[in-house]
Amino acid sequence: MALTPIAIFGRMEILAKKDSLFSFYSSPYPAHRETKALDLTSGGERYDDMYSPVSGEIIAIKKIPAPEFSKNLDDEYVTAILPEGSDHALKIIHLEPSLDVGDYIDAGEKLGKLIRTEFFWKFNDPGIHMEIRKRDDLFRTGGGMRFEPVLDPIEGETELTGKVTKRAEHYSIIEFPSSGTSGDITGLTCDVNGRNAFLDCTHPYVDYGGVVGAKGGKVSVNGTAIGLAIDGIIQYSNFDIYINDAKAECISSVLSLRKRAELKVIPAVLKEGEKVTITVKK
Amino acid sequence: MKVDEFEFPDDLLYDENHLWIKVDGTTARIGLTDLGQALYKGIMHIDLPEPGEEFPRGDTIAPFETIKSVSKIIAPLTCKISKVNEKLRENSEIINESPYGEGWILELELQKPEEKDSLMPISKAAEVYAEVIKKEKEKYAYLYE
Repeated sequence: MALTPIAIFGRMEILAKKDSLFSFYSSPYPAHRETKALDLTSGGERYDDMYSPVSGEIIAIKKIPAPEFSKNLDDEYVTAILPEGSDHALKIIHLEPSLDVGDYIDAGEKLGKLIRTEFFWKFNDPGIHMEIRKRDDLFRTGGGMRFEPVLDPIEGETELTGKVTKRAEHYSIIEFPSSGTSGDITGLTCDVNGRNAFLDCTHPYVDYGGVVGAKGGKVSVNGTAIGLAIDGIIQYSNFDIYINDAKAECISSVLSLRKRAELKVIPAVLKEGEKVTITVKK
Repeated sequence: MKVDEFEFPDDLLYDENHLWIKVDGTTARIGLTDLGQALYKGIMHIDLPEPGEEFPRGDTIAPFETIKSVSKIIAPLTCKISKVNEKLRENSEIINESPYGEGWILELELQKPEEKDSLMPISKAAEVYAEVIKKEKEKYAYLYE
């Protein structure tokens, strides 16, 4: 299966398969707030196989026991992969590796299985969290390196009229037939000082969001200002998202390799097949 | 004493920031409780202060990091640092593995010893911690649905 580059650091390319979703900013954790973390989901369920987004040698695996609050949480693992010729490794968490330290893996090959640890909200799908780190500083939160999204200019805008294509236990998914695209990548588009960008956020559960494809300026969705982006990070102004006439409790907008932009609506109040229009109001 | 699955030695004092404090006159040793280490699994780094540094009660004394999150040790009492657990510089996971033993974090000279009356014996701390444990368990209750 062909792999699409979604981010780079130096000569390290982060690659994703078709049908994957990815996000720089829809998480509350600190590294994301500096564009130093990237989440990637293949769409798999818990314990499904997950592929490696880079080629390289596995240089470290660390297991961290699950907290005692639930016997149904998986132990956490940190896996570090060092691409050939690189001084920096890719740190991957939320995956139980099926390989060992010293093994080599090609991007796209099975790295392990998706797990569910204490870092997941109930509406989060299984997926991996990635950071780029110096090889002698693999495990902590601070000190990671910044990802650079790989994005061609975005063509078209995502029209905010769509249909509910999935209703899961804790969320519904809306697909938008008319979506802005950048090569194989799509998402909800927004305007950043006249420039088209993708909106990457979980609002309002996460107190900030991000734009991918633009760095800074006033951010608007469908003509309504939602905040100010500085270096990709949106400081929100007050606004609400409405789905038809009902105010949404929370929405999550990430980048997609699934041909159509999607919006996750939390909780699962929408029914499959329902036609919806999204509006933004102050 | 046990609160749910978590151990809390009877001879220590506790605070709402998940610290245990062993007071001995005008000195004290502090660390994270068993519950505290469970809330921060996999402590990968801690920024320790230097002996001689002074902190008012409530100030950040030692930021620390897990594999994905950050938090901090907050001074439970107005103090001067007398000793740090140097082992934590190389292996901060000892805090998770042995929170009341080898994972102690700091020794303090108390500059206002009377502040220790604000700390909780386990008989009182148990109520506070039971609520924390209940909320954490509720977060993951969906995994049983």
